[in-house]
Parts: sequence; structure tokens; C-alpha cells
Amino acid sequence: MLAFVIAIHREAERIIAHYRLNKDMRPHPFAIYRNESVCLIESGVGKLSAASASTYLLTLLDESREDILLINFGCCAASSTEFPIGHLSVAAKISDDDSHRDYYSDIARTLTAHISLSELVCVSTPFRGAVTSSDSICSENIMIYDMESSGFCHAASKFLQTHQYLCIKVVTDYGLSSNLDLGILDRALQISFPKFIALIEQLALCPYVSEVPAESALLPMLTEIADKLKLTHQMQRTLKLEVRKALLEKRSAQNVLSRHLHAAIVNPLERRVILNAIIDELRSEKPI
Amino acid sequence: MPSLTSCEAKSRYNVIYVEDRAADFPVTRTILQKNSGATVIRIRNYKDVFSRPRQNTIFQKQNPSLILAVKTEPYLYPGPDVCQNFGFDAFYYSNFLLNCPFDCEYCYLGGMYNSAITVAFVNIEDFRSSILDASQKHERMLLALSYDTDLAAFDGVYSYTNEISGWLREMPSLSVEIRTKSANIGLIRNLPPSASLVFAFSLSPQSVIDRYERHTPGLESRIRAVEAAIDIGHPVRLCFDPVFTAAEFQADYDLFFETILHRIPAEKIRDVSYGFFRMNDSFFKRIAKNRPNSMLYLDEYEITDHVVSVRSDLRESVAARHLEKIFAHIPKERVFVL
Repeated sequence: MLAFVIAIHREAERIIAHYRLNKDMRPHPFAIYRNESVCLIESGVGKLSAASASTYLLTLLDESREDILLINFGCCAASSTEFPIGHLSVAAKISDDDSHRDYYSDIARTLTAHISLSELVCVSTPFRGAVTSSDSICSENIMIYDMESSGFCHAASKFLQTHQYLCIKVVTDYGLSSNLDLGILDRALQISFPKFIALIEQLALCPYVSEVPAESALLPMLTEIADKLKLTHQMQRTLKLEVRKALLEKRSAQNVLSRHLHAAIVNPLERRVILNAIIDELRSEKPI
Repeated sequence: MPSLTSCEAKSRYNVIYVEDRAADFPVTRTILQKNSGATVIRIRNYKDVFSRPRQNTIFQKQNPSLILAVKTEPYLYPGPDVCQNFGFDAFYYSNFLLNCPFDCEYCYLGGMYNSAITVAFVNIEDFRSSILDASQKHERMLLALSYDTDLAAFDGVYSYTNEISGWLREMPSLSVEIRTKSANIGLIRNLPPSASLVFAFSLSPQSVIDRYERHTPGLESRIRAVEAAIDIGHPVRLCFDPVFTAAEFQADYDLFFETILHRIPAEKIRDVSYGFFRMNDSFFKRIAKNRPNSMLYLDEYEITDHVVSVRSDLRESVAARHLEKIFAHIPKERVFVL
């Protein structure tokens, strides 16, 4: 599942159109757009808004959290005109200008062959165009500034692994002292959009999915047996591991489990006897 | 320092995190020069990246990156009980690097750290002083340098081994062990042979390498590296550790020991280390969670004093078979069994 957290509708509209997302008409505290594999939430401006919208979205997508790639996309200011308007950048490091806390995205570094990486500073008020007051952020690199990224990263880091979230930003200005204009913003978003989509496609080409335990496909059967036999947590774990082992050794665990789907118990002693019988059968099943 | 915006030709590490205080060390400059295409990200403390919660070590192994950092004391640690001291009265180990370029399924590092990112410590002078102090307090001191890494495999990025080799003249009581799975013959040829610098080659049957030791050189390359080290005059230790007891490997082990002991002249081997797969139980649990479908972590083991190890009956029967072959070529007093 690809999920976007975007501050304002203007930044989101091209993505909504590209992926043909439909507005989720159920009542939500944020505007949400989705199709089967992509979801987008409009957070509003600021890191608190980004944090609460990210948390809300991740709670909504709770069941498929391991497969999520969460992206914060939006406008940013650059500290130097070396980054032209419309320049697209992936943040390798995100620093909160208030708390001085840093966040690092592991997936950003897989993109170095396709795009330049940046250091992104998240500020509470719009970037003024001068050097940031924070003396702890020392870098020889061109910095970019936004108002959502640290809130987004803070929330994402509570739910997701470090390779599952990423900030992608488009340079639209050089701070309050530069020419701020909606037309320029639109043009910057338009210029960068093909590259942005190419980048997302690149990420989709080589998705990293954590190793799924071999018995995952048999979880409904395992749950049914666990319910009927009133297995303790430890017993359920033992059974899962035995099923996993059987499957990895090419023994048909499904046949064994099917035979016990209708088992019922009267007392805890029977539970142990049936569990042991299942384990014995799993172990003695012939490899396919 | 290269610009962050650079995305030139691929280097071994495409991103290098540099601690602010590590930026001016010569080691940092050398590594950054060698990896001029890498994106450099300045960080306050290596633990800000290395110790983050919710890192996926398997993802990180597939997409390696490097942290250059300054280590704080201690620079030396007492040798662990689960490792051989080879008869030395003082046994220490030291970490110039955290984590390893290789990706061995049985390696305890996957359970020891939150991260698979390699950390290279750049303040080597602090290490040298500490090692010198310790070596002056002992008559015979063993220092293992490749327990939490494979130093020789990192040689293409920075040659810590070369630095250490240069220190040995001023530390006569010190014996250094460089344990490796690498087949870096260039390194072996470049280092002057010294009785104090022992190359300890970890060897396993090819079937075990294929199954468990991802990104490592094959057995034949390692044997050639052993032969090169012997030719040049380096003291050589052979490490048959960890040995696996699964029935499917036993015929391979038989052939393996015959091949090794036939090709490598026994009199040229300083000693042999032999041991079974074993691991701290909390590391074991953590790796088992990260690698749910690894049969290695689904097997049955015994746990004694928080150490997970092969069942003792199995250990005894397999060891008897292997040691018989080893003792036929190498005297018992030169074989250290753990």
C-alpha cells in the first residue's frame, strides 16, 4: 500500500488525478482519497497537523501496516538558488528546528542513483530566507525547509520501520524574502511531477517486504483450532512453529490441520493431548 | 567534503553518515576520498542513526551504508567465555568496526544490534594508546580484532589491518588475531609477516557457505587465501567454527576435512579452532523473530547459562567424528575445542 501525507489540496491534486483516487465520503477528521492500493490524506499545514494526520491514516490502515510505504510530499524552501524552483529532492535527514531531534529514512538511501538526497529542516513558522537560527544544524550542504516533515517522521517512526517512510519535497521558494506566488508554486509542482511519479514507480519496482512466516496462509485454520481447543498463548505459538517447520520441510501441514478442525475438548487435559497429537502428526507427515 | 547533492557513480556505500566530531580525522578523509560518489550526511552522534528503534536489519544488509564515528572508552573488552583464548593469560577484543560487510545467517550480530549499518571508528590513535597500555601490563596478551566484524573484508574501504600491523613493533607481548572469511590475497601479500599477527581463516563446507554465509567468498577462494598466507609466512589459524550438526551436512563435512587437511600442510598451521553453533539466548530470540523462516532458528537446542547451543549428545557424536579426522593430521595440543 502506497500512502501519502500531504499538507494542502493544491499539492495533492496531481497525485489524486494520477492514481484516480476517490474521496472517502465516510466522516473523517481529514480529507482522505483512496483506491485499492493508494491512499492519500490531507493533513493541513504544520508539524502537529502532519503528525496527527499520519497517525490517523496509519491507524486506519492498521491491518496492512507491514506493507505500507508512507510518503510525505509537498513544497519546501531552499537555502540556495543552486536548487532551482521545481527541484525535487528526497530527504535523507530530517531535523526538527525546535526540538533538535533528527530523523533518518533508510529507504531514501536506496534512491541515490535516481535523485539527489537533501537535509530537510522542519520549522514552525515559514522559512524567512536567512540562515536558520539553529546553531546545532551544521552542514556544508544546501538545506531545504518545510513545516510538516518532523511531525510526519515522528508519527511514522512510532508505527513503521525506518525503511517504510520518506519525505519528498519540491523547491517552490527561497523563503519569505523571495517571490511567493501561487502561480510559481503550481509551476514548480507541475515541473517536478513527472520526476516524482518516476521516483514512486522506482520505489514500487523493488518493494521490500519483510519475510512472512511460512504458516501465514494457514492462519485462519490455526485460529479456528486454537479457539476450539482453547489453546493458551504459549500453546498457539508452539503449534505455529511446528506448522512453520513442517511447511519449510515440505510436509503438508494443511492435511494435518484439516483433520483436527472439528476437534473439541471437555477439559484442559484433553487440550494438551490433542495438541501433542497434532504435533506428532505434523512431524511424521511425509514430505511432498 | 563531497556535496550532499552529489549522486555520481556508485561506490560501495552510497550513503555515508559522518559524526560531526569525526569529520576531521585522517581515517574519515581517506574513506570519503575512496567513496567520492557517496552522499555524505552529517550526524551528531552515531547512535542517532545506529540505535534508532524499528530498523529492519535484513533491509539494511541489502542496502548497506556506513557511519564514521569517534569511539569513546573503553577501547578494549575482556574476551568472552564462549570464545577461545588459545592459552594466553590475557585475552581481549576490540572493535574498530561494528557490524560486518558479510551477512551470515548464524551470526550473533543480528541479535546484538538494532542496526545492520556498519560503524567505522576513526580515532585509531585512542585505540593504539589503550592497546599499548594493556599490552605493557601482560606478558602474553591476545587481542581479537574481528569478533564483531570482519576487519579484512573491510580492507578495501580502510585498512585497519595495515595500521595495526605497524603497531606491533612497539608491543612485543601482543598477539593479534584477524579472523576472516574474506579471500583478500592483496591484503595478505601487503602485510609483512609477523609472529604476532595471526590470520584466522573461518572455513566451512561449500554447502554450509551457500546456505548460511551470504556475500562471502567460496571455499576454494578461501583455501587459496590460506595457501597465500602460508607461502608468505603469516602464522595461520584454521577456524572450523561454527560447525553445524544437521544430517544433510555431515557427508560434506567429511569431504571438507579431507580436502582441507590434504591441501594445507599441517605443519604450517599454527593451530585449529573447532566449535559448534552457539549464541546468547536473547540474541537468538531476536534473530529468530527477524528471520522467521530460517530452519537454523527453528531447530531444537539446549540452553545453558543463557547460551543456546547444540544438544550435548549430538555435539559429542559429531565432534568425535570430525576430531578424529583433524587429529590424524594435527597434534591434539594444537587443536582448541570449545
